[in-house]
Amino acid sequence: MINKLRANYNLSNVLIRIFLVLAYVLYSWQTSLAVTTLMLERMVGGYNLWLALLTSALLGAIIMVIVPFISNIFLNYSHFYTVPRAEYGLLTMLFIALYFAICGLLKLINLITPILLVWGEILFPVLVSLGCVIWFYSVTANLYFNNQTKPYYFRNIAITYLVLIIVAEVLL
Amino acid sequence: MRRLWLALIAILLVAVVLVPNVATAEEADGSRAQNSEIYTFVEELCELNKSKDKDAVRDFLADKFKEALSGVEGVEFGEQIFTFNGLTDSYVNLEAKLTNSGATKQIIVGAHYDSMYEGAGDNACGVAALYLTMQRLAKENLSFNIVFVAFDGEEDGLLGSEYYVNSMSQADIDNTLVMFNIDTIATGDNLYLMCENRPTKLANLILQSVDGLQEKPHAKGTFSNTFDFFGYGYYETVQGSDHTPFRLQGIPIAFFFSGTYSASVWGYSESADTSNEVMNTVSDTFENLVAKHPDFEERITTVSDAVVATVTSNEFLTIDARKQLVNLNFWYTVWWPIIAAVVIGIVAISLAILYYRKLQKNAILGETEIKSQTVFDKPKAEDIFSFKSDDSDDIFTFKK
Repeated sequence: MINKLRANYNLSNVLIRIFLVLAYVLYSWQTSLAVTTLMLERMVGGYNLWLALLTSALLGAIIMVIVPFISNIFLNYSHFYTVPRAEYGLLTMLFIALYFAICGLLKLINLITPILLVWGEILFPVLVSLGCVIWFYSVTANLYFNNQTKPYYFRNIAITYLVLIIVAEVLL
Repeated sequence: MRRLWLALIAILLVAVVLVPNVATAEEADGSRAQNSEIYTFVEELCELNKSKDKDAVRDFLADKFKEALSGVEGVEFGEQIFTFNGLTDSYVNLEAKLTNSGATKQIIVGAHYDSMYEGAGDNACGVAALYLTMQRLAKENLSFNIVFVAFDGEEDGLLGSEYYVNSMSQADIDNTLVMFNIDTIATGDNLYLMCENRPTKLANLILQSVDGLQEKPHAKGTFSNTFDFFGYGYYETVQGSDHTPFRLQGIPIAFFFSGTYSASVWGYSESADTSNEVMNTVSDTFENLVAKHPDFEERITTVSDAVVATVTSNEFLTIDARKQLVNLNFWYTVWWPIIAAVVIGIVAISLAILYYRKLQKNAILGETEIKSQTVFDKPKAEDIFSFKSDDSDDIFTFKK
């Protein structure tokens, strides 16, 4: 996978960014629908799906800009100076997009049955993000780290993930 | 000549300014004339509320209910008189049941008639909608029973509706298709319907039946809770009214109320303009209702239309509203998912620590040299040293 990505880097760069925005739209359109209705009920007058999709797409674009920035901070903070920033940022975006896409698909269950509404709200992000971060770690650890640096990388990525998941679950 | 033109223009200007107002006044008089019975009903109820004579209010309502259902077969009137622990007042629920021979299923239409002050908005208008609905449904021939209830004690903590539900048999609870509750429909900015905190067939059916009615936004807990502590137990705290005890018993509900969820108030409020928030205040008077909410009769008619159109539609009996109820069990909806998430977190952290130590071991010893992948606190001698090999004279060699 990484060889194909490197061989078609420019195309991958564009496709992954588009995938991230679309995945975020799939992940957040239900929330955007509720929030835009609340915020703009007088202007919009009831539900407006297109406005919700546009809002989600804009937020997705913002996330697309923020993710490489945060991954750079992570690499700098961890002193991983030998890791190629752009490629690492792209892989981060790819796995975050994967997380949004899987969670978005799981959230569609709510449209069919409410049975997983509350359980899913709490457990889906935990389980899916855990799976994605393990996969991301295994890919990047094998690409950029050796046996001596892997423990340090693992520790940092685990702590970063823990902080992010607590922020996402408790504060947001 | 110039004066004549000026006079003509002046007359035209005056006409332009005045004519629309005259037309509006005529329209208003016309609509008022159409619904004058409702106007008078609300006015009289407010007068009685003002007098604080609860017996007079009950007598007025009982007479009105009898009047609305006069000449209809299979009507049963009833009263539930009860007291509540710690309170000396007795409360009275008024009930009128429109029975259909052989029918087991029923719907309940309710509104509370008690009020804190004059209660024009909360809830004389709701009772007026109940009365209007009663009049209209009395003319329909439906295949289920209809129970109309004017609840008492809502302002003291939903006492009337809670007592009513507790006195229902399990069979009655199981056979209740929907409970419609009407409360404070005229004084809020918008007219809302609340069913479940998610799209449902029942809500769609009601919303399709009339214009001017919108569903309460499905935002969880209206931004108030991180873990949605009340999101699906939210009938207990958010928009609590007489539907709440019914919904907690698993009866599908449709709640008509008014207010706003605009971002400017960040949650529910009766009005974005604080000077228009009159619920449970001395300003909730008939005078204010007429002055600030001249469309109150329209709101009453809209709600009544919505109930009548819904229960008389062919689709009503085909939708099973119970199937789309969200599970309200507090353990199921709140604590178990959180406990499960915490357990997953603890397991994941434990495994991460074990894996981290294994990585450390690999980093120190080199993966190929490790004989066992079991995690150790203190390396065993054989993990560090290997015994003498054939091509060495040393007794044992220190591992590189």
